[in-house]
Amino acid sequence: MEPWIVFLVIGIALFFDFTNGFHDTANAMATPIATGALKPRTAVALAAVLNLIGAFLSTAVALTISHGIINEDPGGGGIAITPAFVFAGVMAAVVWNVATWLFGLPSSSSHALFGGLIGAAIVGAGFGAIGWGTLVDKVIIPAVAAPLVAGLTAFLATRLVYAITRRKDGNPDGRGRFKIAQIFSSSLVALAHGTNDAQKTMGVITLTLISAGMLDRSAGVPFWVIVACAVAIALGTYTGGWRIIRTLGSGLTEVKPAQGFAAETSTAVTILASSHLGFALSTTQVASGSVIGSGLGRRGSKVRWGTAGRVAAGWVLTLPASAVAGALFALLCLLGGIGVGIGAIIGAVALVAMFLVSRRTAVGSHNVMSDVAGAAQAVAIRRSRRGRGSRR
Amino acid sequence: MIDWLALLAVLGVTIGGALGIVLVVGLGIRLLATPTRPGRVADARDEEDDEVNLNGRPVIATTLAIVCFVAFAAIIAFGIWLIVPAFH
Repeated sequence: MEPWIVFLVIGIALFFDFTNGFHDTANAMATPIATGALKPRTAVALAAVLNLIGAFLSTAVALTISHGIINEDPGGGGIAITPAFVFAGVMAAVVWNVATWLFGLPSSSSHALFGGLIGAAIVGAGFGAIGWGTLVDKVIIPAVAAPLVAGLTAFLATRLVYAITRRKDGNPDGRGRFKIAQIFSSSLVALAHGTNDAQKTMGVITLTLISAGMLDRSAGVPFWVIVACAVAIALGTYTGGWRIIRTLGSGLTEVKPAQGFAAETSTAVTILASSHLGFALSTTQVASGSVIGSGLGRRGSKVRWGTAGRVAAGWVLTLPASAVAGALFALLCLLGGIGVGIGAIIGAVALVAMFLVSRRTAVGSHNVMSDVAGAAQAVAIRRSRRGRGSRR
Repeated sequence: MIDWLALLAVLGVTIGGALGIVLVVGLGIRLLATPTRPGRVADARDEEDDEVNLNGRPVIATTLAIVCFVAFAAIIAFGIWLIVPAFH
């Protein structure tokens, strides 16, 4: 295998890492941004730093990816994983991630990566190469369980937090103070994300290096790979997928400080409990489930089920869509080096096109919370100048 | 096989853990909002993020609130301990 393909795969894998951070900033930071607990730029900077730190904390997941797939080759003959097929899978995941971002959908980056690699593996080695049972147990059931567990938890937590702080005598209840607590709960989510997600890319790059014969089979993750992945995910996080932040922060339901704290706490506890009790759940689905659950739990709040439905449709589509894309890229790769080159160009053109489309309706830190919310804020400022006090 | 037992354990631990944390922080914030003049009604009510007029909050309320926030800090430390593999 030509070395340039390996470099190409590494480059695209790092770009996938970037989109991963970019996509998942919302999981931790959408609710504190929505309640004003953190300014948008501060929030993404905090999440970026925590992701950067998190990436250096562990390589356990990366090693299961880079060693697990090779070791579990059925019957010794197994799947010939070439860098070209890894390229196809990762390219598909990148394209899907950018597409879902364009629509502001918080979809799982892991599902996109799994899907892309599965599609490529089917082309490379046939349907037999896929452990369908494992796919159902490890990907599909958790995807259904995640929003339900997190949603139920957030619903109960929101009910409880409002019950505790409710005052019957009409005095101020001080719920604005939950904004401070929100900073801690959302930071915990960001740190947990960093320790997990950067490792997926580390695993993919290590896998590629091993399959190209540039690294020993039993080798750990090279340090430069850890550094590169940490920087890529942190940069992606800092860039901020504002469209997705908007969906999670104000698209699904309007979030208030106490409710946001309940939602973030539910997200953090769900992720930590699931990863330590052997039933790993996707951060993205957990975070979305928490926001919806907390919206159902707070009196007087409405959940926009239309948006929730679009988000759910995005989840269902992620795996098959990126699998199809991965298969198409893999078919191109069957042509050899030229095919990989053509695939890279097609992928690049698709990414640039989607970026240009996104420019038409740019969403950034300046307008991340909807225009309606911005108008309400302006009105509130005028009111408080007149001394009426209340901010909403 | 789907590990239903693990899923059930996750559900139980998650609900218990999240409700515990929310209870501790919620109590702390509620205690901070204890005014000395009971029955005093604020001019404009705000369900969400209003300022609290301390009016010389009782020392016991402040103390208990601090206990709650210390407990919250300990929970956060436990969370970080869980996240960082080097600690366990």
